[in-house]
Amino acid sequence: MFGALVLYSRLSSAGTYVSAIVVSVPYSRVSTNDTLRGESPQPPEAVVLSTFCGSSAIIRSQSQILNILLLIFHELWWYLYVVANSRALLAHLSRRAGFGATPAELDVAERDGWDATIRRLVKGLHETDAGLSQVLPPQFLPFASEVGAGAASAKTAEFLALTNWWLDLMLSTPTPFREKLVLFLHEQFPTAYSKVNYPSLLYRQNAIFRDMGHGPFDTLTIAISKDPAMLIWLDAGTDLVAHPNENFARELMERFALGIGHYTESDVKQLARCFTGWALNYQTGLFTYSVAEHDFGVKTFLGHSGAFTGEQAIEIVTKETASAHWIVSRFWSWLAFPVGPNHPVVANLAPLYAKNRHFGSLLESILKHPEFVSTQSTTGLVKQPVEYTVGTLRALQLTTASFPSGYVMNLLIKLGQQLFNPPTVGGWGANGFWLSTAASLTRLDFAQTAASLGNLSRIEDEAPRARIDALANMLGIEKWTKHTTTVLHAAKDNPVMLTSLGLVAPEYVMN
Amino acid sequence: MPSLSMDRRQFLAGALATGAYGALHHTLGVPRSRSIGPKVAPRLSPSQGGRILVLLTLYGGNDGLNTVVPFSDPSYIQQRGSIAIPESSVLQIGQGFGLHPALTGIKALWDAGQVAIIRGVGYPNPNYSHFESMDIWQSGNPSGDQPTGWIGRWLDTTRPDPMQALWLGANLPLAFVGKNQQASSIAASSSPASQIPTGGAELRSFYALLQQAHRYDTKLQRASMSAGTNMLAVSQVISQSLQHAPAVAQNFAATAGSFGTELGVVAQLISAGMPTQVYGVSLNGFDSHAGELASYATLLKQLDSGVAGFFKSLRGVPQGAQTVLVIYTEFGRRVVANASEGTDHGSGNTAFVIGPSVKGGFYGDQPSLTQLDSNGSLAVTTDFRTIYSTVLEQILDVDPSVILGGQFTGVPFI
Repeated sequence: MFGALVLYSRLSSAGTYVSAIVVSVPYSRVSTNDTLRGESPQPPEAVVLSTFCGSSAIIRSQSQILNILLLIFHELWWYLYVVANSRALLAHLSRRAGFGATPAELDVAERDGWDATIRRLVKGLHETDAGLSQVLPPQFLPFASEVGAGAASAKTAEFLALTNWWLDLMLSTPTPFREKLVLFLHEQFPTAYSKVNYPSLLYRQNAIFRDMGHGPFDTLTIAISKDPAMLIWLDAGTDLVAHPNENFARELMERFALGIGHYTESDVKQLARCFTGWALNYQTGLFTYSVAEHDFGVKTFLGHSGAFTGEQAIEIVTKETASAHWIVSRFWSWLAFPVGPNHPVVANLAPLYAKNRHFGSLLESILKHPEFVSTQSTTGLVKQPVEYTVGTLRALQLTTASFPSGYVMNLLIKLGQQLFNPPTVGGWGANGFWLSTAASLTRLDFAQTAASLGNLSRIEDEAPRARIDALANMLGIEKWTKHTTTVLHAAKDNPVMLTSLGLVAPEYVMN
Repeated sequence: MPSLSMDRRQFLAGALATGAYGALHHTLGVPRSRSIGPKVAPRLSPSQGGRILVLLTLYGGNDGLNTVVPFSDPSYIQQRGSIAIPESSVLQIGQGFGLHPALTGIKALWDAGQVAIIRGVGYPNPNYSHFESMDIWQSGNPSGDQPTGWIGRWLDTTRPDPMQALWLGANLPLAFVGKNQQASSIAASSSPASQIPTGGAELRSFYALLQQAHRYDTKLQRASMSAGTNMLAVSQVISQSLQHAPAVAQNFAATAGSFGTELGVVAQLISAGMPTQVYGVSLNGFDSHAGELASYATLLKQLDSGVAGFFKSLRGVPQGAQTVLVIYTEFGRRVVANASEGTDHGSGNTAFVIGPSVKGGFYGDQPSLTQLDSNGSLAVTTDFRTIYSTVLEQILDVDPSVILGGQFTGVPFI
């Protein structure tokens, strides 16, 4: 079998080789994951073999020696693969766990190596962010003075400033993985200005994502649920004993924590009773709990029965087995390639996540998972508009202030991903969702504007024939296809044109 | 309104015959001769009965009971309490029903016999998730598992042509995505300049070259390139159409907001004689869990001025007579109000079909307000696919069973 695989690998193209091997030996590395050490659900070699042989019956008849040989082979292969593709994979890592790397940043990552780079990224999830002090948040009027219709124009200005602040933070932060996590959490708990209507409250929610996002899911969910932005967004602030509002209870299970198909309509009604009495105090802008309006009776949902409070209800829902699968599938789909809650890679990671339900640990185990560097992963995602925009501004050394006021926010509206304003509680779509004709036109216009404003010295300083590689390097592209190279070659004398084309090449539209 | 002027006809013929539109067909492997003028445009001419579908999606779950109000039913007032619309303010349309007072424009269209109201619409085993229920509606399949939309599957039965279906907005909803084809999307802007790339001809031709797919490209890359190629073709035609069409958008955009702008652009494109057969527009914000009375009236006012303005601007336009507007939403609301002066997710809802060629009136049985399902929702008396069946057969000229995977007796509103 060993020989056959090697032979196969030699005969195959590089891409097929990678996917064949990685798919064949998917999960053994998990056992060496720092966060999960010693608690692997089953012996890794058994997983390897079952995938190799396609039958657990065969595993039992295999000799221990073959198991060990295969493990050694796999580890050796893994090492060679990551080393051989070092720079390309590090670029992939920096796009997924951030907004792309500059050539200098890639040099550093290459020097540090794969494991150390992941360690640094993950450490950044917990660190006090130096970038926060560099990019100052907008000033908000006191909450009470914004209640009602009076401060409409002030709020419009605050909202634009809020959007620019977060974009500029994504651009300049030394801990980009943290901002990426904040973006993912914005998508996991989508809350929109269209209904919340107070920029200061959206800022407070964003700060909770940043401060608590790497920690336990239940603590984060409780904090977000009692936070005013969510209270307004899902009408939780108006729950009453008589006819509890079901909006928040439903979305808590369907979108935030469990996923569809793991609860009943009766669970929704029962869960809603737990949140009665939760409200927003419009004088202070803070959460308030009204004892008189709380339903203290026994509630029965998801097989649990008791006089649960809202906090207890969230702890129950976030600890369901289905929740682990849902959460893992969400993060995997953002970082690697789209999967449903029943995908094998989810089944593989869910028990590990379920040990502590910390998002930081989950993100680390995703980055360290062999499938994260598979061809399916490296070709599996389209840049979300925010990733496309921030990545481009980073590469061209621009900020939101480089453009006319409101330009970047308007760009994101036209691409369909306005920050702090998702269309529904379902958030945004993904991948193919971003590939519309309207978005193609917007990207082409933006590419041209950004290229004409940006710092192109990395292109201009090169001789024309070296510019195509320099452009790939600047944009974090491993390699242009032959066809793209031909087209870019024709535009190499005009750096603005060349850069514009690089920004709309299919390779760059992918993440 | 004057009939289609000579220069508008000329420009369109020019764009279709020689412009990017023809080039696009070339790249898609369709013989050029088949896409030129006469083969495409006359399909929509009123003389040949070609109809145009405008699909309006109300996101959030519209409260059908407060849209078409059963004011004469005592249990309506009793269960709705403070958010009930009283008899004194409804716009009466007979059989004990009245339209919400904000719907004055739609009431005028009803009086002209151009509004079909279909009652008790839904599907078996109602799903109360916005997303699942919208997926069911948009896929046309109650399982919710079908990855293509019903308009998308119609597109799959037709010759590849990015002009056939247009969605107003950045990103396509499921309804407009097929297995092999998908609709094009355009910005909701009536400015011709905003519909074409700002770069010069050189950038555009390089861009066109970049979007040519090759064997080794991934599926997503090919999708990206296909969108880019289609964009170049569509943008030319749209921009020229808007340039030559009468400016109707401003008439009602002010009161109907961005939704009005979307319908305004559609009205302009229809009156310019575009070959497009399906347009998609949307209005958000119908998830009225709290404080429904005031916010809902504002929203319906927006809906009403958009719809009324749309048909007003199409008066006298040949294609206007063949234009049919279908209004749907993912589900209705519960009969009994919640404690937040709002309503929670329900079923058994109302759909509208509006247009000069529509046979106005009530269709479908009104569900009882007292004999509710176990969730406190209205019963479903009309399968939503019966509406699709009529639309597919009468407007899109296709065998409905091919798209819906089964036979559904249509609703005779056309």
